[in-house]
Amino acid sequence: MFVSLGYLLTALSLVVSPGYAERPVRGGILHVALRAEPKTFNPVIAIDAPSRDVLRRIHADLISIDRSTQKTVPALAETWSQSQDGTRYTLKLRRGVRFSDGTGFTADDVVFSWAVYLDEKVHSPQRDLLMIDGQPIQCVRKDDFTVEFVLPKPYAAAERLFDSVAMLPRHRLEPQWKAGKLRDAWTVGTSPAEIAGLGPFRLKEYRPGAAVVLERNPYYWRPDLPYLDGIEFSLLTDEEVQLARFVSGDLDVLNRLNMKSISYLQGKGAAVTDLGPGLEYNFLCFNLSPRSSKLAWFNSREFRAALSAATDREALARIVYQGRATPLWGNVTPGNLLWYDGRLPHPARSVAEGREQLRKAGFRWNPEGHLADPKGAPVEFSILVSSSSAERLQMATMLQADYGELGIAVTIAPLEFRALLGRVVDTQQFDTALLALGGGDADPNAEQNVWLSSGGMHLWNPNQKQPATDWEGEIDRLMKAQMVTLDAGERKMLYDRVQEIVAAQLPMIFLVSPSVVVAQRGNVGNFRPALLDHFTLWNAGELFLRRGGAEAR
Amino acid sequence: MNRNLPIAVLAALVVVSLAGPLLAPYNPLEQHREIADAAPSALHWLGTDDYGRDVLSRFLAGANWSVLAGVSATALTLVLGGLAGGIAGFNGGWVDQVLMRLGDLVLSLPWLYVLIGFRAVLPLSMKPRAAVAVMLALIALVSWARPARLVRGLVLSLSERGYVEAARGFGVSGFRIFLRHVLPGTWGVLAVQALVLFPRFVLAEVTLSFLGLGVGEPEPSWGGLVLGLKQAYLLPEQWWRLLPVCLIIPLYLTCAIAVRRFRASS
Repeated sequence: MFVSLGYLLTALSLVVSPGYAERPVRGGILHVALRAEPKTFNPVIAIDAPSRDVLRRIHADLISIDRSTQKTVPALAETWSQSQDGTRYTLKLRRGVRFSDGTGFTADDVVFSWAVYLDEKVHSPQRDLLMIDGQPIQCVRKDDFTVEFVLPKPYAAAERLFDSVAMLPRHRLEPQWKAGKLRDAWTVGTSPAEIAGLGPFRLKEYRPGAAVVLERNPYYWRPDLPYLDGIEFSLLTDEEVQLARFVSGDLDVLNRLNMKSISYLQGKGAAVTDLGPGLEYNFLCFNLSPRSSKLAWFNSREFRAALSAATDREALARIVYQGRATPLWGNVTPGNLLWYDGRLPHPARSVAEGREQLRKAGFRWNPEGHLADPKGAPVEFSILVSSSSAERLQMATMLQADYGELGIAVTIAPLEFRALLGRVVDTQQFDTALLALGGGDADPNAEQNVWLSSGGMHLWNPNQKQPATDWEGEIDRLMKAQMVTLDAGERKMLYDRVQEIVAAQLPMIFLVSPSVVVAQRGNVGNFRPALLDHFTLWNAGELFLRRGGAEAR
Repeated sequence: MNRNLPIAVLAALVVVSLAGPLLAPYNPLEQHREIADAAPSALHWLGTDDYGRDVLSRFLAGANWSVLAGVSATALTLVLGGLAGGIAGFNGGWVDQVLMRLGDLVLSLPWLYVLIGFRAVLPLSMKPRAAVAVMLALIALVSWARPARLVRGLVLSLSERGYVEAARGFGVSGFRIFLRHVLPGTWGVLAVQALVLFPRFVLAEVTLSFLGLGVGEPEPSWGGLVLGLKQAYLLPEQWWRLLPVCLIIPLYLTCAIAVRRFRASS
């Protein structure tokens, strides 16, 4: 008995010991799904998830956030140091690093990249993240492999801002930038040979409507990586089709699951991992921009509060996500342990309260029970939703019924994801939109461009010259203040106040935060899914295909 | 089997579809979320859907829309096709050439892409049924060419019959000859076409729903009911998701049998 127990303990220690690691195998193509066509291959202007999913594998940043530990780790910068007053960061770059076209990477590329992201004419969504109190973070070249970042003020969690800021090849993009055409560079129609990055893979082929194929970057700076020969992103807009392709062995990994499919997948032998509450928050966003045709209603806080009161969040979590989601009343999810404000009120659903709010705002009901505004016009609006997301379509259907109880006629408008994003971000041609954000980083600074009124992702009214409302002005002040506050407790207090304002003003009605549930066929090694986006491919350079799995295809 | 049985079944179906909303035991739009995805029971014969809506009620109310949409689109196609084919065949010459080349053009259109593109430019706030009615009208507009060809061929042959020649000899006007002596000869072909096209148009609504272009929520339609089958992996546990399909299949079978009988008898 003693001997058997000892044997068992030895075996167990082999499995759980940090020193134990499965020997990686080189080769093979990892097959994953992409839920929509990428809008661009230009990392400077990419805001849609499909583009970013691809681009994160092609490009690299100076300092990364390790998605599993959520701590910063060296990337293209080997080491860094901070001045005593916290306003200067000196980064030592790795030597011998080359872009995927073989050209060397130096401090000049860093300075160039920084200038591009900060260029107002380029309208990069990253720009807001690189500004402190309206002042840009300066990047100064010290020598070929040393750069210094000069901050206008000490910046909380400064190291994290380097994550996801892709370093660009100056030799490729400088001419377009100088000609003022950087936004036109690296479109989806660009030849793959013209695109160079520092990530583990490089673009091999884009077949519109079919797939984006990446191949190993032969110049990748991490020794012996990547293990894979490439990644093929198959364009599969329909979640059910993704599932069928996964079960049939055409896909190796599923980054998102329909919660109803979990038991089915487990029955098919797939390795399903539920990481618990994630950072993604689903919300209904009002169009509060001057272009909104329903601005008179949406500008009324009571109107927005009425809709929020009538929203059955518990049912959304129970029915749409089979209970694997958390109802939300604010923009930070319970999965974000550091920044979640548990004191925000969680009022129970109340249609009566919703009606009361509407009455206060001067809305009335006609004899048929339809809501009319103070001028007597019937209240109706559309919810824009991605046609490729079954969950969001289902949520929209439930919201339609919820708001129907207030006498509001809601039309659901399913739209291809790129078209939807264009309407929300670029042209503001929508009434309301059902979207999701979050997952990039737990730190609030990652969402500066969402909460600052000047931000391009300030979805309800983007790119404001001056805050349109007092409360947006207050959010601006708080976000800027928390950015430069080094005391963690004080930062939390400031950001809690932002959450309170957002929850009270409701430019978005927060709905639910789904758990992060992923699956793989059991053939992917080094598979370490994380709560931060991209849940499954964040360590794509380290992933490998086990022999059996690769041969089984 | 009675020769008229398929026609009787179809007629009954149309009647049921007209009375569908009145026969529905529950409000087809009302969500009872506490009984979502419930199995068939004495209260809900076909079970409930993802939102706890009664599936039988949605089937009956959806029949009203789906069948009427199918009938309307069929009628529009046959009127257009009958007229175009009749005029082309009876007049011949450049009129025939123009109409038939136009038909060739329409037949070569990738209608699915046309529909997807067209749907994208429709106003977002358009009511779900209005949007699909527009789409079906568009399908009908691009479907007239096939019946037009059949009718044209028939009219060409009818125009050379002795009684038509005789009417011409008596100085009867071309329009009157067409109306009284040629057009009635095409009824049989048009009836068969109606039986072929009708289920196709009903199916078109189902196809549009699968593509996300069908009748939007919360309106019930057969396409919307069939949509539940996309989650095919749920069928072993929720077999009742198949029931609406089992009820739709007889429509196609009946039409197919009716077409065969009609052809055999003519």
